[in-house]
Amino acid sequence: MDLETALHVATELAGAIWVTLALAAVTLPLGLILAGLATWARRSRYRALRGVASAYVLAFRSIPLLVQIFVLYYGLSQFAWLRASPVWIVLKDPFACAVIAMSVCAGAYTAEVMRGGLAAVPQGAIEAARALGLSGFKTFLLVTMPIAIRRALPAYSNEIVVTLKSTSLACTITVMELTGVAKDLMSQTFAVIEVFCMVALIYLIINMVLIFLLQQVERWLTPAYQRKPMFAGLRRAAAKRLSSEAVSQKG
Amino acid sequence: MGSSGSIIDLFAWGGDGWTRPLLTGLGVTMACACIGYVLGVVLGLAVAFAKLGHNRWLGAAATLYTTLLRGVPPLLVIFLLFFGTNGALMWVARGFGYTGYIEVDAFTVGVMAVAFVSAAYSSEVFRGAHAAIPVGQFEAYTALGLRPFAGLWTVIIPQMFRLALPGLGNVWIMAIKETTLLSVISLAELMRVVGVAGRTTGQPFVFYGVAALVYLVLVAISSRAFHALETRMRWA
Amino acid sequence: MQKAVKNLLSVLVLAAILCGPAVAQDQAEVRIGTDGGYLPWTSTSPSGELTGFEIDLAKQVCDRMKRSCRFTAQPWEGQIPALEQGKYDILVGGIAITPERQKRLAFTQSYANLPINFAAAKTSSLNGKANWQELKAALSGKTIGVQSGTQSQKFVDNELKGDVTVRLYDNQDSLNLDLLAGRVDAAVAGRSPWIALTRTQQGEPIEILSPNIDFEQFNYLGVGVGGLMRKDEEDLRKAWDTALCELKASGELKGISEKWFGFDVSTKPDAKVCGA
Repeated sequence: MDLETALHVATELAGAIWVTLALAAVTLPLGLILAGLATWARRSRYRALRGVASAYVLAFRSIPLLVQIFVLYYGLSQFAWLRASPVWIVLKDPFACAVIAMSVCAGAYTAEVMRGGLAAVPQGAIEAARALGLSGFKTFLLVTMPIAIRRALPAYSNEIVVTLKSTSLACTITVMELTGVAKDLMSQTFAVIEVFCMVALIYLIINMVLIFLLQQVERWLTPAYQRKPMFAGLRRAAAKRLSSEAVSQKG
Repeated sequence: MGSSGSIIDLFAWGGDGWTRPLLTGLGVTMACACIGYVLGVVLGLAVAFAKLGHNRWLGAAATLYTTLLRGVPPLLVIFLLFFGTNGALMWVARGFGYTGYIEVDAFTVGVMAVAFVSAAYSSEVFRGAHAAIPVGQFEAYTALGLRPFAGLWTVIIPQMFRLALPGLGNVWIMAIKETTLLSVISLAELMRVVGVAGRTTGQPFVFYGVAALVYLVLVAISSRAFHALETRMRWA
Repeated sequence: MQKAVKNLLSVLVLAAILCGPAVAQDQAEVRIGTDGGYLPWTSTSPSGELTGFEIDLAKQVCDRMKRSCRFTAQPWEGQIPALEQGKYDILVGGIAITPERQKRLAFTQSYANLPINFAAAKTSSLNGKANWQELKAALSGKTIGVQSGTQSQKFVDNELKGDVTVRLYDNQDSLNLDLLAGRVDAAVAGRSPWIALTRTQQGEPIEILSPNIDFEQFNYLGVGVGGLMRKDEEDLRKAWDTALCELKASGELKGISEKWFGFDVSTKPDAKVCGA
């Protein structure tokens, strides 16, 4: 790849990074809110509400995201009455369509993560809190939720990676994010491997930063006495190397 | 390109009806998912052992492979294979002195994409399964006088498959979903057929809706089947 | 277990055979690559058969050259690499003759020339502009859809970049859907897909905007549409050109054009190729 092409590729990709980040930045909180609602509904007293929430989680986890995006984007635009309604202001925009479809899908997956986290809360902790005289709400806020979040975080960081990857599908409805731009660059410049490596590296870096941030949240939520030192693995490796060096010096 | 006509006309069997093309598309989807998945699981097993083995370079390569394939969007992998495979294959063939044209069609690209991604995920599943096998099993086959390879093949790998079954079920469902992405490289699988049908009839909602239902059913059947398999394996 | 392993192995072998790279066929046949989704140039019926203006034309040419031809539909994006690597001998599919493409590849003489047109809703304020300058002014700030990798995209990049929001589409059908839905204010393409669209019931609310963007005013757009081939296929190119000369002289090309477009898109015989 010559310098001119490399510069062209780099500028195109730089612009697209922001689109990908924007998609993820809007989708993740929306997904979290939807998942919270679904989790609340699934634990509700009313059977109908539980049924609706369970159906939502099951359906949106089963149907491929691309199908969901196309139903929303191309499918709904078939109806003239919908195009005449105020909803169209949102659906007209491809970026908004991508965000809606991805959020609804991420919500369903995240609801499963939340359920796992809640199931991991020891019954004893809740009983202890109640015995101490905490109300149901306070028990949930001060005992159940912090433990559940901490337990759910590793699975949620996985979910974040999945969501980041799913933003690539926005390029199928004209939103030019990283993968869409990569495709155009591959077909224009034929520097297929180079473009792939650059884009893959960008995705991996974004992944790493997000996972690191989440680890910090997990650490912050963990009581001090349970915390592992940061970079535990590195420190252990360093200690091992030092001790082996000590041994070899002796010999 | 008439947009009139009832739903019954749209899904008529012969003539301009779409049921037959849709079924053909479903066939392509299933063929691609099945072949890709089987290849992926085998490759995944190899990658898992590369990680577990003692060769440091092999281990590093396997780790790089899984990190990469699990960290980038499958769509990007598909574009890489679609735009890159022909050139790469021809380059290798030139090295052997062959100068003719080698063609890699969309189906092959699709199978490769499904296989490569499934391999990355299933290797992690296998690694987990390997870790869950009690040390006693390894000691047992050594005590029986089996060589490592024979022991692995007859004692460890069968148990790994049993332990890996739930995870492999998830990988299979992922493989089905990944085939939808192949519509972007014009492989005539279900999603592509549905798109063409929606555009030519002016009824995209109906056809994408049908696709949603089909995938829902496929995933439901798959997870049932894997559950049933798990139960049987547990009692066996 | 042994049996299961054997079964697994046989499945793998079968898969390997199925997936094995297909090796190109013998040279006697002329292998023609085309788009298959760009009415009325080429189109694919639900049963998978290729039809269209260029399919009919290429069949006539093959008859005159006395050679058998095989058509393969492939999306436009992969066509040029496939041609260069030898998968096809010639590409037909509304490919504009441009100096850029002529550097690396060879063209037959042109056989059709159609202007680029904008299309928009009949109710749009973009209608009825007398010339390109007026239309350009009216387009400012609008959202425009165009198929990626086409001459139309090049035109938009050259003439409108910065003034409008551009949305790129993989295929004309998706662009049509979004134009009908009103997601884009206007769309650009060669004239023919707009003719096809406005003839359908769905396309009733759409109008082709004046003026025509012609190749003479914007000469980087090329001199029309031709068959694209490798430079080393001189014999095939000569045979193809001779057949085209005959079809043009006899009026058959005009007939095929009217059958598919409803009017004459054919170009005059190229004096350099067909003689005076």
